[in-house]
Amino acid sequence: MQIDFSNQLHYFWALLPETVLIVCALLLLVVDGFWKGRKGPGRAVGSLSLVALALAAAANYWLLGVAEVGTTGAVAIDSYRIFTNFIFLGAAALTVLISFDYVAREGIDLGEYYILLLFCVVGMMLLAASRDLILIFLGFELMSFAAYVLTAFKRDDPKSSEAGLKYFLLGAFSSAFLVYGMALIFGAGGTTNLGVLREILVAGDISPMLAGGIVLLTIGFAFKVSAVPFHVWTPDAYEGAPTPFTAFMATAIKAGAFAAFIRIFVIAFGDLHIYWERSIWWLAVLTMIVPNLIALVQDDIKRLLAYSSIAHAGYLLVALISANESGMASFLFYLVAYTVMTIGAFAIVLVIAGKNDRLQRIRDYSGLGWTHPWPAAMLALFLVSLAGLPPTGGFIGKFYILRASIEAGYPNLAVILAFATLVSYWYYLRVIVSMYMRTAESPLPRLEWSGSLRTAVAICALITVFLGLLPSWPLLKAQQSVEGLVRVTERVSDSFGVVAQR
Amino acid sequence: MVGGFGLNTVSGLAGQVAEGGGFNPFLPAWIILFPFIGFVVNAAIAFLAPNQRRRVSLVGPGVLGLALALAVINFVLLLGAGESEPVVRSYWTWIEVGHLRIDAALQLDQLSIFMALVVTAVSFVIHVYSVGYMQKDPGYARYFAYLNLFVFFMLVLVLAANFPLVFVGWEGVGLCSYLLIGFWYSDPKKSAAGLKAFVVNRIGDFGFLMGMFAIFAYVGSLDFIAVFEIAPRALQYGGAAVTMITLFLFLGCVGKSAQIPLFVWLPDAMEGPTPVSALIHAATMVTAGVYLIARAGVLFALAPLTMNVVAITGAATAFIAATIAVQQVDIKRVIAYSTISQLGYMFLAVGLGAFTAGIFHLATHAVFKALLFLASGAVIHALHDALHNAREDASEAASQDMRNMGGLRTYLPTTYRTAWVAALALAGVFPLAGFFSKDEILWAAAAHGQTVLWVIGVVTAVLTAGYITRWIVMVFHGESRVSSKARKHLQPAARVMGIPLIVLGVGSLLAGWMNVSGALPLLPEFTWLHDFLHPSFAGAESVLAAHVGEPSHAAPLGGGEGTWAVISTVLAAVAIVAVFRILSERKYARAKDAVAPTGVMGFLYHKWYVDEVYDALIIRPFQALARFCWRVIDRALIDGVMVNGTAAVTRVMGRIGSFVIQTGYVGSYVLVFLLGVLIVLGAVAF
Repeated sequence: MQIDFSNQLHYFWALLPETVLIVCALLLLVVDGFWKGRKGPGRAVGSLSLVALALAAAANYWLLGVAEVGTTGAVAIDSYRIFTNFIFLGAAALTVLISFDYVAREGIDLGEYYILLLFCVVGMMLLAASRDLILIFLGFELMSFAAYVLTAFKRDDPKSSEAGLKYFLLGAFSSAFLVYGMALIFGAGGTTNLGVLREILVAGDISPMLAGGIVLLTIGFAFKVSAVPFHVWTPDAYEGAPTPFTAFMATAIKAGAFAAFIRIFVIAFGDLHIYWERSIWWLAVLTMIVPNLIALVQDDIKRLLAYSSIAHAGYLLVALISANESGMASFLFYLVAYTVMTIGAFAIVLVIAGKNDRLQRIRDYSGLGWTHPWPAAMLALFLVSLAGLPPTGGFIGKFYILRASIEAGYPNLAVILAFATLVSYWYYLRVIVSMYMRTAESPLPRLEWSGSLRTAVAICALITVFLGLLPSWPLLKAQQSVEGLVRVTERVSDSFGVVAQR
Repeated sequence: MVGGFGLNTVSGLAGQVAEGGGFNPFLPAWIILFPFIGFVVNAAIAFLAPNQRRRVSLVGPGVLGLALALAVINFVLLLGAGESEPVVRSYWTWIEVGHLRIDAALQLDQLSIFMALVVTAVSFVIHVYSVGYMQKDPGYARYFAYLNLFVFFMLVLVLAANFPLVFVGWEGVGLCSYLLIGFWYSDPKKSAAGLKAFVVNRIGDFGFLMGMFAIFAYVGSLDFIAVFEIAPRALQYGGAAVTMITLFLFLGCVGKSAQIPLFVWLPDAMEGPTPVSALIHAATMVTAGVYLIARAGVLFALAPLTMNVVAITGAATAFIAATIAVQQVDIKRVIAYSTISQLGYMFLAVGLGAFTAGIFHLATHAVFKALLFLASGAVIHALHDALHNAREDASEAASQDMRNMGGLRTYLPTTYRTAWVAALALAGVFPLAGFFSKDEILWAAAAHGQTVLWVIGVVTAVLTAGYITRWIVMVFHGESRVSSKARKHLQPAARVMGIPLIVLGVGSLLAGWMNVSGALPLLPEFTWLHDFLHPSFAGAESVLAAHVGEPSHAAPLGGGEGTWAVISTVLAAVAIVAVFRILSERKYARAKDAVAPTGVMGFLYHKWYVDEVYDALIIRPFQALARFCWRVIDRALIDGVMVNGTAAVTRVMGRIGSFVIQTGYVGSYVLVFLLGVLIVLGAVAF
């Protein structure tokens, strides 16, 4: 099928996955409201939400065979969007699978939990799809509002409410930056359509208004992807949020923000590379170094993983700043690896934590390798992958990012990334050491992990190992997804990098 | 010569069928997969139900039987196809970086199928034998898991279609060797032996890796077919590049195949169970170096200097190891040194460019040396049980010391007879296996005008006959030095151990006839192996023919191949008879009363003091340096100042980040946010 936006009806087809998901979510609201079962609607709505995600994935797959006319439609139909959509949907499905146990245990087994999750996914799918600043803002708010509520979902837990409020306040603050930046860009270019802007805005003469717009957009996005120093909300929000949703925040929400970040900066503003490269260079450096240092002194594993996820945003920023096709491909590859290993790690953490999330300190993991070999082995695998050791997807992903950054002429970033990784070994391995080389202080109570959670962990582990052992095929898919998106231009060198040979 | 090169798509286990002159391999991947399945099943049993011995006994040798059947089928298909081009089956792309593309691909040609046949056949026999030998061991399932895994890696090694995949097998067999040498890991001596093997092999692996990198740098590919096609054009004959490549590869072979100066690990490897010694440290793994040189024959043929190094190393190793074997008293160590010596012969052959002779000796040696090991295993097994039941010292040292044996022929008749067959085959007595293959090697040395190497080879052959006769006499003949009490408990080997001995004995009798040189008097010319392997070595031989020329067909001292074959056999026979007569009369003191020999014999008894020399020259200075590095550089400087210093600073920074910034107050967060805005603005403005 061919999409031509001169026919308004075609927007429906172009947004089919989003439409499917949003209709399903609304239907689920109805189901939730009229549920008469004995055990409450939570479990049923959760299972049905998996079906909704599968339907959306099918629609997304259908989009693969669809072509669009021109590159200025407000909704992009390209493999980049489809690839990232699959990541969002997969992350959401894994999150649902690991949520069942948790919500039941913590007494928040409500249908809204899953419905909000679906709305959140719709928001991030819009982010990946839109080629229009307004639509991107819409996507952000849709995603964020659901996220604020879900962060505060444990209403009886003051920590959770506090986290939600902080997230909301600072999120609103950053949205102001974002929308102001969009306004300035609209002022400079006369349109909010990125496809058009890409053609008008070329390097050379840049108006102060455009420069200001880019700065404000950078700040807004830096907040959304929790780059240092806009990350301060992250540890609190991640710690307070229900653990499965923390995993979702750390992976899918970050991925959604990154998807739009790349759509604007790399694809649309690729020619303006020299104007945004410096500020993002600094953000990337800070984001790689600071959280890795802070994570060294964390005793709470959820906070540790929160800082770890901030550091990974730094690695993804390196892929973004490379702004070439191999950078984009490595970004997509790393996103997949990062998503599965992070969700897997959080899944084990929530299992170990037990009722009311009591056991979350690294000390609580002592001797786990001997008392509970399976969860410990899985957690060790995910941590090893997060640390970037072979034979896991984390290693290959980091390797591709390093390669892309060197190709793009940023050997300095590659070196900093390697050193930051080195520091991170300490805190990842600290957990493993605790599990395998310490003796348990007090025996853990019987672990509750249902089949759905085990399935999720197994999927995460399999993908992590698969990406590490046979990376060729996924990398090929990632490369195909970004083919032709980045304009090949002569790069100008500056004090930060060597001239890129293009 | 591009049989399938470049045809690489993901196509499941059916593989990509490449063009190949009529040869259509039958399920080649399953030759490798069967042992792997065996490994998985046995490992599962070892973890879950270690006492399921019957299942292990079925699965362990069973998968090898299936692999052997497939190897035989493919061998027959290949025979039927005539002189076919190599077939490459590619299963998936393993690594793809830049111009480097490595497939998980198997190369099926005469050399690899022949090697697979040798490996599966010997492995199968030894697996069956192991059922009896390891029956009472608590680690029975674990043992078979390791052994299956070993065969899997060994087959990857010989069937791989590119250097990196060979390296996978190469490292894998090294790992299994390490695991099996230290199989009884609770004994620190055995663990140490495993460690020694592993460490010494690392030196060789370094050479393999460097050689591989150099090949990629100079030739631009790592696939066998491509490399061997491009190399003669891309690399200058005798040039520095190809010499460096081959010397590095040879370093790898020296480590794996226990040649001078890295042979010290192999005698210690005898700490492992005896069937392991037979399989890994005699018949298969240690011959990997010979296989690699034969496989990379084109590269070696281009580097005359390396060829000389290989041949000289081989001859020197053959001689030195044979002299050491003369004075050893451990039943297994004699054969271990004999293995090193025979590997030297093989390297001598390939170093002279006589690749077929090298592979021929590899195959015959695999049979009769495995038999020698299995026979000594049967002796050790019987003696250990007897000593144990008689409540005497049944330690390993006691039950393996030949000074405690003697006169066992009446108690272990099957073992005795088969051991004689193997010994005569090793000594190169007509018409047993070793005669034909050793004669080919010696003749290659003579025909290439390498007088010194040839003389060394002949002398070594006589020494070989001598030490193996001494071994037979000390174990089986003369007066028994086993106490009369223990003698009553001596039991012949069980059938499951006896039949493999007989099978290998028949092999030792007949294996030589697969290639009979036309120059031998009174015998029909039958150069089957030559003709069969010819396509695999055609590339290397054409390079040699272009640069070296045809070998002469006369010995340096005059006379042709036939004459010297007769002379060397007569010399060996004389040595056997002389040693037999002298030693049968001699009275040996039992191990605990014996005094170590002195003089030349003491020098040999102490193995040329090689371990001591390494200890003084390498290990001690190294340890001193290590101690210095540890105490001064590592503990004081690196640990004290750098690591702990950095760590302290980093942790302080982490605390600042964590407790000064992360206050929990939204107001202070907004402050940090504004700080970030300033950073971004600053980065853009300046």
